[in-house]
Amino acid sequence: MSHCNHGQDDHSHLIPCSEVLSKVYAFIDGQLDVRELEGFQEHIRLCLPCQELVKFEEKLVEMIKKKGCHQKNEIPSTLMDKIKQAIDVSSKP
Amino acid sequence: MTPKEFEGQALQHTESLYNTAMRLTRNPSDAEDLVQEVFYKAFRSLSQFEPGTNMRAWLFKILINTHISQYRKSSKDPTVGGYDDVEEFSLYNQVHNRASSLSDTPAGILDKFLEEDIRNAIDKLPEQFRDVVMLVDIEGFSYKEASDILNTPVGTVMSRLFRSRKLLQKYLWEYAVEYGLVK
Ligand SMILES: [Zn+2]
Repeated sequence: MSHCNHGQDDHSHLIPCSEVLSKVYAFIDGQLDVRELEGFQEHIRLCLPCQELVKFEEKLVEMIKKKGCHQKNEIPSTLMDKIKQAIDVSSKP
Repeated sequence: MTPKEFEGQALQHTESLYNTAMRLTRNPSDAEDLVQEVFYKAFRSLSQFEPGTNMRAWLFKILINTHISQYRKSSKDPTVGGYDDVEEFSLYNQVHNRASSLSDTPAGILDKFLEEDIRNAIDKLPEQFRDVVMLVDIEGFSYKEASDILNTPVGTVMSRLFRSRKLLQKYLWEYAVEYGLVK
């Protein structure tokens, strides 16, 4: 029983694969509500192709977060001066 | 909140504001001016800030809005609607379908990309998409916070994020082909 049969037969209560596809990022980002989450998790537990896809997308997002971060730019000292200047000017009535 | 208290808290966000500004402007001097403007506006509108709410989100909102009004006036950003076809792109399927001729699994190929590749791919995104990725994935804002910062519904944040990640997969696939990771 490695495939969901696209919502037919004994898995008719499952959400369709297309819904997994459209909700995959909301799932990864923790944005599904309890009910949606339940349906989503049950689907990927029973449907191997979707399970594989979700694992892949999870890894992709994790990689974007880890490797996509900003290049570490040293804060120029001139910037601190400019900020001080901005604060001074804007504090004046 | 006194200006001094506000200053103390706001200054803690200088680094992430500057790094984001660098990414938005791609130019150190423009980035400095942008961050200066953010602090200027923040202090000017200090009375509008509600103590106890998220100052970081508030400062980022000023940053994004200032950047949009200053730097995007002249350049026409491609409309989001132009990227409809991208939704279908799946790196997973691309690799999966060639699995027999590849030594890699779809997940395995992700390990081959360098930080530089990911950064370049993000920087290549159309601005509206890049903004969402930077806010949610890089700066760690929630969908709700990002929607507030960008002045756009949560649903729009979600759909832009969806398309951004599909588009990133497309760029990564192009890199993989270019590097000969796939044939
Ligand atoms: Zn499925």
